[in-house]
Amino acid sequence: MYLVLCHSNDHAAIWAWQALGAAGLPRVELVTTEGLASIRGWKHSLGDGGAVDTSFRLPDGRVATEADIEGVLNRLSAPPHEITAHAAPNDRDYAQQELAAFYLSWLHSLGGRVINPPTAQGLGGRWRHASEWALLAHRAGLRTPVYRQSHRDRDDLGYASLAPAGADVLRILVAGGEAFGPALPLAVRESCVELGALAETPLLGVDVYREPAGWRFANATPLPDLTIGGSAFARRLALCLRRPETLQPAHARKGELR
Amino acid sequence: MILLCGIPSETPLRMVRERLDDLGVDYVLFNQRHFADSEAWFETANGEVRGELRIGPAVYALQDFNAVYTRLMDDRCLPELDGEGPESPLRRHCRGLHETLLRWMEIAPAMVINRCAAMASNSSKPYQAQLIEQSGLLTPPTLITSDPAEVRAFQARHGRVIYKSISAVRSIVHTLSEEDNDRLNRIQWCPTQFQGFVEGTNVRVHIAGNRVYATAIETEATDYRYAKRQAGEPAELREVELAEPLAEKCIALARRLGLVFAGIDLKITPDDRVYCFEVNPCPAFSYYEANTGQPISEGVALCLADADAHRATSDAVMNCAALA
Repeated sequence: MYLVLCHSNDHAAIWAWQALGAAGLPRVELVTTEGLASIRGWKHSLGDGGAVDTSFRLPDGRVATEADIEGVLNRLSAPPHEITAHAAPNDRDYAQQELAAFYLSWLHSLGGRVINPPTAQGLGGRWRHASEWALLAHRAGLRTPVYRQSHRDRDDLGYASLAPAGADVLRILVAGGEAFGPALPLAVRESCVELGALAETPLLGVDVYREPAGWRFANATPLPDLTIGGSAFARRLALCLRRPETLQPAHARKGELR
Repeated sequence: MILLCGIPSETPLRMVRERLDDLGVDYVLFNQRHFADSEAWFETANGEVRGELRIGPAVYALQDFNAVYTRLMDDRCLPELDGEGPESPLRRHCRGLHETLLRWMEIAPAMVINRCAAMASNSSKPYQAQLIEQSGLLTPPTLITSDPAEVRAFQARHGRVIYKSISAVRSIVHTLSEEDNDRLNRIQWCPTQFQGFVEGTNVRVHIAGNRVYATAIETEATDYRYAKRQAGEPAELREVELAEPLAEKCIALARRLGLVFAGIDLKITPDDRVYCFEVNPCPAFSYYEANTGQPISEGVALCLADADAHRATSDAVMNCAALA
């Protein structure tokens, strides 16, 4: 089976669940955080030099084993609050951290079957500070504005877009080494794909904004709006879930250096 | 230049600072309790990172720091902020300054002991265990489950079983006892981590760059850090030497996790099997150094000095090449 893991208000993931089915991917199950919270019988075994083995019981009673999961579209940003809401107030944060640590281990054990792979800096892919994105975007070949931070700034500054207010911002969707979304110059699209590879985030939303001299990097997210990719994106995503080796950009698959 | 960050009286930071003094190596100390008289900024432009740190009257270019040792404490808990409201200018200045320094450390082209990103694997022990096994070390047999029947079956298979947190929070190890059986049903709401108890000798291995300091810990306690509470006696520590292949595996593991300085918890069984429990990315090594005299702080200081000298040399070579 293929899982789409997401929060119940993640409309883009719910769209992808339907679009993947329409693209011919069989046995696609939507598992919202509410659904995840109601999973029972978790058994996650590891250590002693053996392979990691996981099984659990879905809300409808079916038992899913390691081998049953063929692929996962992973859109988790946090563990289900449905579980921790019932914990004693002093234990809520602890329970939340425990669940996040557990889901990270489980999803990591599934290896290349998970898009985006979970990281310790974000269950649905690594969240990066604007300064990190700016450096990576520069390395990927995108024109990048200066990012500046000082003691005078609020600590959430680094998670905002680098585009100036009122700028003409467009979002590119990178998946499996291809760019989807609005028509932009080929070099910009290729650099966005390269950014996804450098960030080790196969499914990446990249915002760029227009300046007289061309397009500049504004922001990136591992949890992009998937709907902008349309059916072409859904077909590509379905292929990536079926054949994880197709996740990398074409030049990386051929072993070429850029 | 070397930058030290934290509270100077905090033992690990104090010890590293003293070793740098012994070595005659210059450093700059950012005392976070003096935040009110400090400022910082950095910027990224065209792939370069530059900025400034002002401490009192002295101003340093951030790009001149080649090595950083950070023991920054949670800035929200500094005593200088007692009585300050959540949005007070002093508190905002303190937060902004620390956030700026922390963010700079994540991207600085300097050796940093250790970056937050590298330390993050410790937030999930079974996730880190998978990385440890990929480095060629065994990890204990582990079951994370929300099914009490699975716990009983695991206990029947392994005999003595311990339980501990999955995350880095409330990380105290306990042996699963008869009394715990009565409350085992509670785990159905939150998967819980159990491990087969591994008999043997605890060994803490501190890795500082390529330097290895191994300390054996003898105790009857389940968690030697709480030996006095759990076994009534403090643990006994002694210096040991690791076989070279094992030392190399430990160095490789720290490197794989991106850690310049790490505390690796091993257990060596009577039949010489080596299990790795976890890698501490921010080890408070002073406990081990104080009990054994092992020069761990010197190892950290030498790492910093090496990185500083190496980067300065590299820059000098590059500058000469550019001039030629």
